[in-house]
Amino acid sequence: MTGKGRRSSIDNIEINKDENYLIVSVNPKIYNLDIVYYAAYVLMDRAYAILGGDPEREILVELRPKDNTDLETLGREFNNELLNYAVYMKQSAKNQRLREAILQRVLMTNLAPVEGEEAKDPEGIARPWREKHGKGRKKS
Amino acid sequence: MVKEGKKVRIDEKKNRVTVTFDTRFYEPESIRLSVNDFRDCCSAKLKSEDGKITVVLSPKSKEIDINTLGYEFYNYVLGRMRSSESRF
Repeated sequence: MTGKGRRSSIDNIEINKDENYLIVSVNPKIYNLDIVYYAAYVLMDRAYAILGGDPEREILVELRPKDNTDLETLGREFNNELLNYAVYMKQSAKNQRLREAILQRVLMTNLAPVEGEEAKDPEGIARPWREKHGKGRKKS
Repeated sequence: MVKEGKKVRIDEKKNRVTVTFDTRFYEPESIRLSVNDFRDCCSAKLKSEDGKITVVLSPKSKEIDINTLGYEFYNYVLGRMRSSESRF
């Protein structure tokens, strides 16, 4: 890609060097809007991000670096972040059932103890520190 | 001199910046909350029409850079949307 606004079929970055900004074109069928939000959010400390275009057909993300970051590098980093969050979301969706099962298990272990079980405390763990070591402690 | 941008219009003469939001990408509630948060440092006007929300910001202090104010506001709205956790 050159910096003269020419676009190839692979490259989705259009650079405007004169005004120091770039536009990344995103296909919403590949990366949905939530992924675009995440990617833009991650780069927010280094660039200004403006979303536009058509959320159904082509999302356009305008990025203006806050410092002297190279425009092409910034655009490519944005592409990397898109991929990063797409993978994250896919994995997250895959692991959803597992996460729910773990959470369910955790909550189940939190059920009320069986009668008489709580009375068994040979190490005295359930006794408050003040009672064991504080003033006026009961000597066992 | 008025610098024409796509979504951010800077009017240096009148010391104000106009930003336009597409409500298909930016939640109106987050924009409204952001305007409220910026009231300490800017005077703000909010207009809404045809799926677009226009915000006019005039900085109260000369220390605020009018050339970056609009872009900062865009980023702030995006951050607000994340903290509201409604979209992402």
